[in-house]
Amino acid sequence: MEAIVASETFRNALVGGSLTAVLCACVGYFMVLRALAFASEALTDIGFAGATGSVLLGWSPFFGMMGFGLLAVLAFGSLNNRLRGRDVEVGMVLSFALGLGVLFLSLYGRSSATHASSGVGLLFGSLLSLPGPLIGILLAIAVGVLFVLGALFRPLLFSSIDPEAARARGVPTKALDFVFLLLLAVTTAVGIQAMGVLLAFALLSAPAGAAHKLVRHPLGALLTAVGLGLAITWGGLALAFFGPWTRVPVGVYIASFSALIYAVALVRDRFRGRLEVEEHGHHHEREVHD
Amino acid sequence: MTGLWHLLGYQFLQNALAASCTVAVCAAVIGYFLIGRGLTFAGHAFPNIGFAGAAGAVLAGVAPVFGLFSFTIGAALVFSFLGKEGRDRDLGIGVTMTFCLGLGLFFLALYSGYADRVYGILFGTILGISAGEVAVTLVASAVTLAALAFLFRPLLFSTAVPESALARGVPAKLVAGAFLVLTAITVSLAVQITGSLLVFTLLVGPAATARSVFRRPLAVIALAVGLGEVYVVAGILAAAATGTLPVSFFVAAFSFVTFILVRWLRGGTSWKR
Repeated sequence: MEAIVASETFRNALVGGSLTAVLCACVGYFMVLRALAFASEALTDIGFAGATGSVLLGWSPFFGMMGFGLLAVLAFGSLNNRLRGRDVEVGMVLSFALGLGVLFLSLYGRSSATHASSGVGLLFGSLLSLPGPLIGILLAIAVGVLFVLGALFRPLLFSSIDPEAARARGVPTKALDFVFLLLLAVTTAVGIQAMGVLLAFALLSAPAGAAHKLVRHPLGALLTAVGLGLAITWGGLALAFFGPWTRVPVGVYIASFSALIYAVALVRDRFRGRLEVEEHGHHHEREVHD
Repeated sequence: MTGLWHLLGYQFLQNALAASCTVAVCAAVIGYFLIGRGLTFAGHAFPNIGFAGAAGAVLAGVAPVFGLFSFTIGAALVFSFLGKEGRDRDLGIGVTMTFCLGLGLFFLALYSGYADRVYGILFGTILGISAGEVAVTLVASAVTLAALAFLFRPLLFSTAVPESALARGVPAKLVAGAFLVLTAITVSLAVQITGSLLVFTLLVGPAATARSVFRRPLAVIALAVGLGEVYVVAGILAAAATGTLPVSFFVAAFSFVTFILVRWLRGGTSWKR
């Protein structure tokens, strides 16, 4: 056990996983408030296309993810007003990106004379294979994104909860929409590095979604989301490193804990909602005026 | 051109065309309602969930089709309990999908065999479909379409004006559940033909474009079916003509370009205003 704790794999996984969890929980909370679940899931798959594309060109996958994420944000941003209720357009961009991803993968498979399935590693990345130099990049990105989130906290929260009122009060909602999408794209790129394309959405959605259901006060919910995200990640890492089933990848645990936490929060909220429908409405009003 | 005619003589290409044209019809009709009900995300989640199920079936040593159907229909039941509010439903769909993908990763990790069989489900083996599979697909699609026709009026009513449908006594929950199960069945059929990644394009692409051309439901559905057929045929022929490039890419590209062109010609009603 001490040997594991002292190993570089463990240290990288713990630091990288914790950074990803905190970042995803914070950005995820605003994602939940802004009802951008589909857009962010789409961004992870768009990141996949970008990553395969840049691997094809011999670049680091990170460049492609950032580049394609930026392009997608521009495409989303040119959509009418807000992304809310715009899931058809998100879907069209997503489906095209998936097509490009498949194309790049097939070209990659031939150009490098290896089979396309080697590029499939991008689909299920793993915290256990985070390279050391990447940790520094992850840290820099996390600090940067969290700094912007902190600086914009009040207007971003206001425009997320009640966009019309925020606009009427002179909050630049359009600029905030765009900035938030950029933060989301960067965060998904980090999530993909840590968790792989197919599971990156777990840390982005479940902790924040559950916290949003459990805690009404924004700051409390944000902290709860961070706590849940860390608990999920640490629990997954603990089982992966010290658990009896060595063949089970850490992503399996993280995805399962995420679903479990969200399901518990959902059931609790349904139960509570039935008891105090009236009070629920009051809470929402208070939130807006805070 | 003569090259294409020559290609059409091959049995494998005829099978590919027949099977994918069949599933494209179901997908286009389902896609119309999917978009109308704000369930585009579910259209993305179902094929991924099906992939996980297929991986489980391969691990268990049974045909992927069992995993596909049990996982997607299970997910349909979960989705129908997620409520109507868009934000909660989308999150629930996303979490369910990620959980299933986690299971898929689990199955893949335990599976020590030839994993390419599983990846075939992701990317499709459209050019390797047998005549028997074509027949099964035809029959299953016909049954699905018949069920859709049976549900058509209440489904349309509760999609277009949910409140008045409820007031008029349409069993909205039952209709919603039945529709999700039909979506699950269609996706399961389509995944086996085209692979997980292309199913979403077949569901959403034709219907999205058709909805920005017409308003009347039947006209939209007819155009969506027509567009779906065109994309699939053009995609398969383009892939066959180039020899090695994937069908999914061509279908997705045709669908995306058509969508952009139509939106642009219509004065960009939604892309810019």
